[in-house]
Formats: sequence, C-alpha cells, structure tokens
Amino acid sequence: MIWRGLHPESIYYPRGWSRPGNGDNTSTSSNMDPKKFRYPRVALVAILLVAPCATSWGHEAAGSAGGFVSGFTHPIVGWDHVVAMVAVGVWGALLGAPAIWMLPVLFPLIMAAGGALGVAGVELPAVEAGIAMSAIVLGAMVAAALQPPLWVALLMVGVFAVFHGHAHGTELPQAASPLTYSAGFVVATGLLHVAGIGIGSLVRWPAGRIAVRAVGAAIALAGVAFLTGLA
Amino acid sequence: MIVARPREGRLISWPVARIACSLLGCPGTVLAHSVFQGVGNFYGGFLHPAGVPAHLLALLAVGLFVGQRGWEFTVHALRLFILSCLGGLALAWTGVKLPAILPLLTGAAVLGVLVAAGLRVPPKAGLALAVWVGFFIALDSAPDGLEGAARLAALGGTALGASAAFIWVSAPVSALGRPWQHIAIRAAGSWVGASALLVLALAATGRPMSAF
Repeated sequence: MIWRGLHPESIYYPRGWSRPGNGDNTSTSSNMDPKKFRYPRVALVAILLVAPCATSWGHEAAGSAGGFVSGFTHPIVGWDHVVAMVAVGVWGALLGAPAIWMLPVLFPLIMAAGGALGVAGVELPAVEAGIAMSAIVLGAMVAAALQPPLWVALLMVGVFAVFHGHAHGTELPQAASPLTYSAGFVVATGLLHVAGIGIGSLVRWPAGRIAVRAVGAAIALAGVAFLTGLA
Repeated sequence: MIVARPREGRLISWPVARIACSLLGCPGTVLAHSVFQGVGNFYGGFLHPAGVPAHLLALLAVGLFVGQRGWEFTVHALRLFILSCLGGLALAWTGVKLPAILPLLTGAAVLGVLVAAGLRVPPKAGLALAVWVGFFIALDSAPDGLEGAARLAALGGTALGASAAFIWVSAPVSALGRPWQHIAIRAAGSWVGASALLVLALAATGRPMSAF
C-alpha cells in the first residue's frame, strides 16, 4: 500500500542493488538512537498537505457559514493560528520522542476543553493576545532549541491549546453544522501539527537544524507582530 | 461468521470484499423523495450513515477503537455490532423514537479518548461500546415517510451500510503495524474525540439536538 512505500526500509530495491548504508549495511548508532526522526518522506508529504495557506492576517473568520470546509479553513485563514500550530509540531520534532507524538495526540483534546469553555461563553482574558503569545513563546523555544522536561513542554503547550480552542469554540455555535465545523478545525489543526513535524524533521541535518531554528525565530517575530498590532 | 483472517498485508478478507462489492450492485426503485435523490430505498439506507455526521463520527470512532485492539477483537465486535444494528432497526421498524444523537456523540467521545490514550480496556467493556454505537445508529436511521417493503429495504440497507463502514474502518486499522501508524491511529482517535466533545459541550448549553 501507499504508506509502505513511504517507509525507508520498505522501498523496493532491484535485485543486486544494495541499500544506502555504510558499506556493510550494519546497524549504526543513529539507527539505535530513539530520538532520531525516521520518516522524512512522510513528513515532506505532510508539509505539502498544508502548503497552500491563505494570505490573511489575524483572526478574520468570524461569521462564516457552517460545514466542514468552514471549520477546516478557520485555523488556516488566520496566520496567528497557522504559525503557532506549526511551531507546536516543530518543537515536538525538536524535542524528539515521546513529545513528537504526545503533542499531536494530546493537543486536540486539550483544545476541545478550551473550545468547550468558548462554547459555554466562559470569558478567557485576552484570548487574541494569548494566541500571539503562543507564537512568540513556542517560536522562541524552537529558535533557542530549548529542550525542557517533558512535563514542562506539555504544560506550556496545554495552556496555549486552551486559548486556541477557546478562539475556535466561540464561533462554533454560529456554525450551521457544528459537528462538521468542529471536525473541520480539529483536522486542520492536526494537519498543521504534522506539517510542523515535517519541517522539524530537517533537524537531522546540521544545516537543517539552523533552518529550523530560523523558522522558529520567524514564528516568534510574527507573534510579536500580531501582539503589537502590526499584523 | 464468514470472515477469514486476512493474510499479512491484506486489508480485508476476500469473502467480505466480495459481499461488499456485490451488494453495491443491488437495484432499487427510484422514488422522488429518497434521502439521496435518484437512488433506491435500499441504497439510500446503505448510504444513510455516511450522510449523517454524528453517525459517521461514531462509526469512525468505533472502527478505530476495535481496529486498534486487533483483528480477533474486530471480528468479535463485528458480530455483536451487526446484532445490535438489527436490534436497533427492529425498534426503528416498530416506530419507536428515542434521542440517539446524544448517546452517539457520547460514545464517540469516549471511544475517541480511549483510542487517543491507548488504554487497555476490558474486552467486555469494549464490546459493550461497539454494541451501544451500533444500536443507536440503527435506531436513528428510521426513514420517514416510507412504509412496508420500502421501509424494510431502507432499514436493511442501513444495517448493511453501517456494518460495511465498521469493517471498512476497522480492518485497515487492525492491519497497520508500524510505530508511526499506531501513533497516527491515536491522533485520529484524538481528533474524533475532540470533535465529539466540542459538540457535547454545545449540547450542554441547551441547543436542540435536531440542529446537529
């Protein structure tokens, strides 16, 4: 099946061809490194999934009609959501296992909790500022290549997930089809994470590590622009 | 149950594949007031779960859950799922109407969270959740305005459609074996659970269930 072809070890090599290795195809230390990112091809495909993002600034999707497409485009038409979600994926890839998979699995559920607060009309202080701060903080974490303990990373991302969920949740009641709307923005958020993991997979190369940290810095600067109202 | 264990790499067994393909060719009378314009009652019933978002979400959730627990569990769950569908359809045939969207969303939320967490669940509890979903999907699929043979055809189509969707989700999921695929299943479970939880929160604010 298609996903088998994306795995480096399941690529077909004709008889007599040797696979890339160190000559004798034995295990190297990198093969035993649990933090090594193993699926760059999958990650590149994931980047392509969310590559065409609309060029729009800030949080503009209020009042849109219901439906899956409306929910799906809600995180994507706002650059503040896009950069923050990509930063979550990039930071997860930088932190390696288990953060690289725990963040995409836990984030939607914590976001749903924040969304429930938004649906219930519970006011959170400065939601837009919180979203901008999420971009600044997570971008700075990536730029500095900081690797705090797992519980610290999960706590930070969890707090920001509540803010993002609240922003989506406040517009859920206006959707004509709330279930497909919520499925849409949850799926879009998840795909943005996967795109971020794809970008973060570049850290396996030294030049890629610099590029990823530059991406983190750009995300942090974008967050500053959102916070100060420049964007 | 005529379900054979699939060979390594095969997604569904040949008997299931043949049955599913042959039933797609079932003819039906075309009525002006079908749920899906231009198709017969049986095929309309077959497609009905795919047309109701809550049903689709619940089927995804239960398929991910049973598939995550392996092929043997999938087969056991399929048997009970079909029986629960038939039970729900029997009730729907008699005209009993119970609120089904809320139980379905609750089931989808619970199953989604269990898939995301990857928790070990007692087999009987897992089977009970599958029965819960199957029963309420069937109960909620009563076709309005159809009587007699047309109603029976629509309900029969729904039983087949829900069971086919169950297998179409759970069989590929149970065949996935690589670590990143297990993580992808858990992420899909968290998506399903999060969507269901959000709508449950909306329901808790008093919005009528018919609006979903």
